[in-house]
Formats: sequence, structure tokens, C-alpha cells
Amino acid sequence: MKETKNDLLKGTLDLLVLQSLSLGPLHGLGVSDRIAQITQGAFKVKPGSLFPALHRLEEAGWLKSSWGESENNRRAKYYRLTKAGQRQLKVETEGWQRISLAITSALKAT
Amino acid sequence: MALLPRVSSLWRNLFDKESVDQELNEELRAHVDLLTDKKISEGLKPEEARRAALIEVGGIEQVKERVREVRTGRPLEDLSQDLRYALRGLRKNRGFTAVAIITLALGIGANTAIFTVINTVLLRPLPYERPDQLVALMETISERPVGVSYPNFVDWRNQSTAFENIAAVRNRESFNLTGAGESERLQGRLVSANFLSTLGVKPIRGRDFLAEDDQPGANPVALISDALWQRRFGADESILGKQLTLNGQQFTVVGITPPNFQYGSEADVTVPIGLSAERFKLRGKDPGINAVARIKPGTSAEAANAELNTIAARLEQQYPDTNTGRRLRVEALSESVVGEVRPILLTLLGAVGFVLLIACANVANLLLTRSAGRQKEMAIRTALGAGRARILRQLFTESTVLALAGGVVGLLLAFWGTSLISSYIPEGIPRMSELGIDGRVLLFTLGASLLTGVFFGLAPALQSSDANLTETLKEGERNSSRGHNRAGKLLVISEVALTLVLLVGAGLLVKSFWRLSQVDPGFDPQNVLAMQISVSARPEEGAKVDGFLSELQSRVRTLPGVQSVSVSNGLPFEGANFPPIVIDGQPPPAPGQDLTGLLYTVSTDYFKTMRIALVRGRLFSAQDTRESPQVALIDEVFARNYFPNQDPIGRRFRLNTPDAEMREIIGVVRHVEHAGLEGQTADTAEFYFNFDQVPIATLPRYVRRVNLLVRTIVEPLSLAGPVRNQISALDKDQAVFNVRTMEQALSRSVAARRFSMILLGVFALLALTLAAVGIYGVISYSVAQRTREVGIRMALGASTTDVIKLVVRDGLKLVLIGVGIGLAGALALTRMMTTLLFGVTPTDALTYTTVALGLIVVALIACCIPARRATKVDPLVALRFE
Repeated sequence: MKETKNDLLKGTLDLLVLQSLSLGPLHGLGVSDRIAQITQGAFKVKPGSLFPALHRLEEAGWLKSSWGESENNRRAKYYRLTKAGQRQLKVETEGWQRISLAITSALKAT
Repeated sequence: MALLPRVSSLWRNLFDKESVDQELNEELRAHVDLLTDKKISEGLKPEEARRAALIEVGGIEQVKERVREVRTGRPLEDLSQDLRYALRGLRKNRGFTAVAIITLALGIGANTAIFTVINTVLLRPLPYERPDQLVALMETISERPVGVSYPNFVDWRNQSTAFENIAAVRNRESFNLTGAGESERLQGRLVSANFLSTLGVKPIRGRDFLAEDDQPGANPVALISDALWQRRFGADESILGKQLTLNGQQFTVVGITPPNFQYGSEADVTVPIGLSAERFKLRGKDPGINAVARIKPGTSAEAANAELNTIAARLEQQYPDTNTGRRLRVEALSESVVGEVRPILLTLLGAVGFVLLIACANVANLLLTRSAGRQKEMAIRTALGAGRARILRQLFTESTVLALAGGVVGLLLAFWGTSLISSYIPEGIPRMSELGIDGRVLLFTLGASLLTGVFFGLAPALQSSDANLTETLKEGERNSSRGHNRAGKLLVISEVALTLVLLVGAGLLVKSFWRLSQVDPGFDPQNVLAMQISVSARPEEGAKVDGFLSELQSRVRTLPGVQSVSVSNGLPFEGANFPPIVIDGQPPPAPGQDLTGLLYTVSTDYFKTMRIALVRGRLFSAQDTRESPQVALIDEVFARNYFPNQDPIGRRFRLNTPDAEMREIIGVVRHVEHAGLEGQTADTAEFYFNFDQVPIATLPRYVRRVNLLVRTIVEPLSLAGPVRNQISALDKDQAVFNVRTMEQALSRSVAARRFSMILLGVFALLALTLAAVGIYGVISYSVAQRTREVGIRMALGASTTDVIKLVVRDGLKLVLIGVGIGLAGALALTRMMTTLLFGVTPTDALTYTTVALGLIVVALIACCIPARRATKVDPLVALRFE
């Protein structure tokens, strides 16, 4: 499993967090589990990176948080995408695809 | 990026910090709980699950700190934290804080005060409309400025095209105001009708002069100053159109000039110069005016200069007798107003800059000493994760707070200092009535404070950033002093060098002043009372004036305490005519090569009263009357210049006017320093006519300004009252003014010099005190660091003297290096002071030696105190000291 903390590009982490919330609200642990799931375990986000990212995205207005009950009846803070967050996800997805395409073709063109 | 959520988060982060933190706490706790649940569900026992969860989170506090770091408004929060921390540190260390703030306040205060003066005098534009277009026009003869001749002025005005306006002004005319109320002596000026409009100044009531007012024979009109209007007429609006009696003539008041309007000097009354065109009709010998002009937009001063000089060349051809060699100079008005005081002001600014640097060095040393004690604290903070940038920011916040506090106190000192300066500032420094602290001064103070903060904050910051973390934590505080000692040494050296430069500058001024006070003015100023009277008389009243003068002198002579009395037209330090002359038996001088001399018209007892020594021949006596042969006295310079290697007694000369009579030279007297002790008139011939031989018909002209001189055997000013009483008993309308002793007149003539000497001296002493304190501080600290070494030495048998020698030698080495650098700096910098010196060169060896020795002695004393303290060390205690 790949260790990712600071070396995970900030933009990439944001993109993954936004993507993980696109299906519905999650709490912090949920977000990190979901990221692990959708990247097939390639990325495991630790709390030291996860929480700063969540708070940063919330202050930017892309996420909104509220307290709720977890499946096993614990109080937890849930994050969901705002309208602005959905727009941002689209922008970042397109940006990422452009870069990834460019890098891929660059690597192929030896 | 959306602004609104940012603003609301900023608000919450700054003002609802506790609940934001609380929420983060709960969120993370919930996270750990959830993770524990997850681990349990994966099959771990509850305690193991919790431990595994905590390990995975990896330090709740660090996670929290990282979240806080990304929050909006974090820099602001850091700043406020730094500030709070800095203030707490300063409060805790009151002695340190007080010394640092006072030191900085002295430095910043002195700078602000001097900058206030410079700002007012040199930087603020002149208080006229579009002042950059205004120029002063000066006539020069062989590069030397002379008074502008009014007829020439009229020709320039008519012929030049480069100017919007050319105006004439003659300041310091005096007017006797008589009639209703007490008679009063007023300062006035004569101006051409366009004077105010050239400057762009408008009367606040009534009207400006019209061209018709400015003609011989026009109906006499006058403008009065706002001050006179308020003071004498109670701001009565009906003054306009009323008549004033000035010098016996009726003037209609047509307007009032604005409050604080000044040009060169203040004037209570302003009258058109054209009314007295008769006085100014002679091209070569009129009393002289000043000319001020406004250049047309788009015309350069050089073009104006060239045009005027073409006109001057034309006038030279047209009037060779009077205009040969007369040239013109165009100078920015601001330059002609303040050009002369610039060197002294800049010198003072340099001096206070040095004082501030020394203050900085002292505070830097204080901070170093303090930060040496905080080395451990810094190391611990670094170990706990504070980055180097964070620590530097903290240190700079502290020094900036300190500097700003110093700036505030300094500003208060400057308020006080500026009012002190303005109440002691001598006449002759222009624009002092405008002196005040404005936005630019405040900005300067702020800038100086911030710069100061960065400057003295640099030393401890640099030092702390190269501190080795492990070393510091391991070795304790002892080893950290090496860097400090190096910085301390540098500070001592630079303080000594800066102080030496200042002391040399001040020393040179002191010596100049001393040299000046040794100059023999040629007369004895002690116990001479002088006052001016201005007798207004119509041309036909000569006999009456004659009677008045002799009656006045004989009445005053009988007053107790009076030794002798005389009257004069022309007086040293006051002014005299400077007419051209013709010597009998010598060919008439070529045009432009006039023989001239200062003319004093005096009564018989003048030489006795002023104690001017007779060199040869005889003085005036009662036998010299209007009926006897006309005689004159000359001074040594006259004799040397015009009768080289000849006996002047018995030779004859006359004024170069058509109707002047030849006069025989009966004696030679000592040369008198007429314009000041600096030898401004050392080569100017002087000659004396007898008041009793002035033709009755011309007497009224001579007494428009006449000095009454009284030599006393008591304190001269105590006779001012009785003499005044005698004058008003003779003529109750007679105004008396400018009452002073000749000693006062003499001291006033060197007042500007004394003022700059005192200021520079004060700054140099301030620098010396600060430097002594600084040296003391550095040496004390290094002695404290070496307590153990001293203890060992003493335990091994070193004597008290050995220890003192050890400490003093170290200090002295630094001081000597500083003195060396300072001497070199002084040699380089004092060259710029040449114009401020008198009778002493900028490299005067005696001054340099005295100052260097004095500084070394003071520095030695500053070293000796801590050295003596070192000898009190008990070896046992010292060895245990750890």
C-alpha cells in the first residue's frame, strides 16, 4: 500500500475529497475509507492531511458540515458538497483529465 | 473563489475561536471513536482497538495544529499572538523595556525635531501660489550680489518677455504711525503694485494696489497687515477708506493682507514704491530693492537668465557710468530664501542620524544580552515544532513593538524639542513662523521607528537563527555567549566611531565660536546702550531737527550713570550707507571701478562712546561746525586701500555726487567690524562725517533713522527708561525702538552660530552618554560571562590590578579601533562643514586630539566600573557558578 501524506499533491487530495462526497454526505472517517475504496487502496489519507483539507474546502465554501448520527449511533460531523463544490469538482476533474492526458501522451512519446 | 464563506469563516475564526476549537476537538474525538468502533468490528479487543486508532491518528494535537494552520485569518491570528507575547515579555522585564524605550525615544525624538525644522524650512513649498515658478532676480557686480537698482528694475520689467510678472519689494522700511492713540513704530515695505499678485496672494479685505497707485504724486494708499488690523483697530471693518498718518503723511487704507503673510520679514504696512520714486531715481546709488518674478509657464530659468543678461548688456552700453559690470542672476525663490541655512540643517540631520544609530546599537546590545538568556527558550520552541521563520517573526515583532513605543515617546519629546528650538532659534533662519509637525513629519517618525526596529532587531535575530539546537540544549547558557561577544564588540566599535565623528564636529564648531569671540570688533561693546529713533520732519524743518538732537544729547548727558552720549547715522551690526567717493588729486575711477566706503555720520562724542581708538591725527571736536572747514575721519583700511604708503592726513575727498563738497582728512581711527565678527567687512574702507557739519537743509533726510548711543557706568539697560523719558519729554510723538546694548547686538550677530554649536554640542553629548552606557553594558556582560575565568585566575594568585588590567585591556582595544575608524570618518565628513567653520580648518589637529583623548577617558571609565566589580568575585563562588 502506498503511503501518502504531504507528497500527495494538494490539488489531487482536494479532487479526491470532492469526488468521495459526490454521492452523498460522509464523516471524516467515511471520506478516508471512501477514498481508499475508490482508488482501490492506492491512497490512504491520514487524519493529519484529511482534516486540514476538509476544513480548507469548507472555508472555501465547497463543503458544508453538520453534526449527525453515524450508523452505530455515534455523533459525527458530516460533510456534503455545496453547489459551488459541485462546480469545483467539475472544474478540477476537467483540469486533472487534461493534465493526465498530457502526461500520458508525453510518457508514450519516447 | 467565493468571498462570502471566506468572510464568515474569518469572522468565526477570529471572534468565535473557542467554539471553533471546541468543535474541532469534538470532531476529532468522534473520529477516534469511529475508528475504534471500526477496529473492534475488525476483531480487535476494545483497548487494543483504541490504541491502534490513536496510533493511526498520530497525535491529536499535531492534527489540530495542522488544521489551524490552514484556517482563514491565520496570519492575523499569529500576529496578534506575537504581539500579545511581545507585550507580555516587555511588561515582565520592566527595567529592560524602560531603558530601551528611553534610548530609542531620545534618538527618534532628536531626529523628529530636526526633521520638523528641515521639513518646514527646506521641504515645504513656499506659501505662495505655484511657488516653483517664482524666482528672485539679483544684480551682481563681479559675481557678488548687490541691491537691485530700481531704475534698472523698471527697464527689465518693460523689456523682458520671459516673465508673467516682475515685482519690486523693499523690506524693513520703518513707518511712524501717529495720530489717534499712542504713536507707534511699524515695520513696513515698499512694493510695486503687482507684488501681491506676482506671489498669488490676495488681500482678505478691500483691494490690492492698482497700477495708478504706484506713481509719483498718486493719492497715497496703504495695505495693512491682518495682525495690525486685529491689534490696533480691533478688526474693525470700517478701517477701509480711513486715513492713517505714516511718517507725517496721510495714507488711505485700501486693503488688509492675509494673516501670516510674509515675504522675507513681516510688515505691518505695505505702500506702493512709486510714491517715493524720487528716492529711487538714481540708477547707480539708489537704496536698492529686491526683485521677485514669476516665470511664464514653459520658459526655463536659463532662458529667463539669458534674456535678462541681454537686457543688462544693453543697459551697460546705455549707462556705462552706473551699469558697467552689472550682471543678473536668476535664482529659484526657494533657494534664495533658504539656501544659506541648508548646510547647517543638513549637518544637524546627519548628527541626529548618528545619535539614532548609536541608540540602535545600544538597544541591539540590550536585546542580545536578553536573548542570550532566552537561548534555551528558543531551542525548546524549535524542538516543539516552531519553524525558524516563526521564531524570527516573533523576534521582529518584539523589536518593532519596542521601536514603535520608542517612536511614540520620541514624538512627544520632539513636540517639546521643537517648541524649545523655535523659542531659541535666532532670527535669520527663515520660515520659522511656519514651524510645525505635519503629516510628513509623522510619516518620517513612523518610518524612522520601523527602520530602527528592523535594524536593532537584526542582531538578536541573526544570532538566534544560527544557534545550534542540540548544543544549546546540552550545554546550557554558558556557551551561547560567543556569538554575543562578537556582536557586542562590533557594537562598541561602531558606537565609539560614530561618537567620535560627532564630537569632532561639535568640537570644531565650539572652537570656531571661541575663535569668533576672540575677535576684536574694533570698538568696546561693553556698557553701551543703543536705541533707534526716527525723526519725521519736513524738508524745511532742518533747524528744528538740529535743535532737537543737541537738546536730546545734552539732556541725556546729565542723567546719573551716563558717561557720554552721541548720535549716529550708521552703526556696526546695524547698517550704514555705502556711497562711492572721489579722492582729490586722483583720476576719477573708471566706470564700474568706484571707490567706496561705509559712511557713518556721527556726533563729536561717538568715538568716546564707542571707544574707537584714534591711530593718528585728531578726532572731531566742538570746533568743527557748519561754518568751519569740512572734515572727515577715515579708518586704517581706507588709509591702506586709497593712500598706500602715503600720509592721508591733510588729503581731501568727497562723495561722488555732483553737489558734494571736498572734506579734509583730519585723523585715522581703528577699523570696525561692521557686518559681523567673521571679517565680512575686513577689507571695506570706513569713514566718518560729523553730524554738526551736515547742512541744515539735508538734516531731515539724515534723521529718518538715527541711533542714540549712551556709554554708561551702570548696567546700560537700567538707563533705557530714563532715556526714553527724556525723549518723550522733548517730543511726545517720538517713537523709540530697537532698544538694546551693543553687547546684545554683538551676540545677536553670532546667534545662529551659537545656536548650531549648542545643538550639535547637545547631540554630541547625548551620543557620548549613550556610547558610554553601551560600552558599560557590553563590558559588564562579558565580565559576567567570564566570572569563572576570573575566579580561576584569582584562585591561582592573580591580583586585583591584574584582573582590572585584563578587563580594561579588552575594552580599550575595542575603543581604540573605534577611535581609529572614527578619526578617519571625521576627516572625511567634516570637510562638508567647511562653510560652518571660522578660524579653524576641518582637520584641526588640536580638536581631533582633544576629542579622541576625551572619548578614550570616558570609555575607560565605562570599562573600569565592571572591571572593579569583577575583582569582587569570590573565587569559590565563581568556581561553583554554573
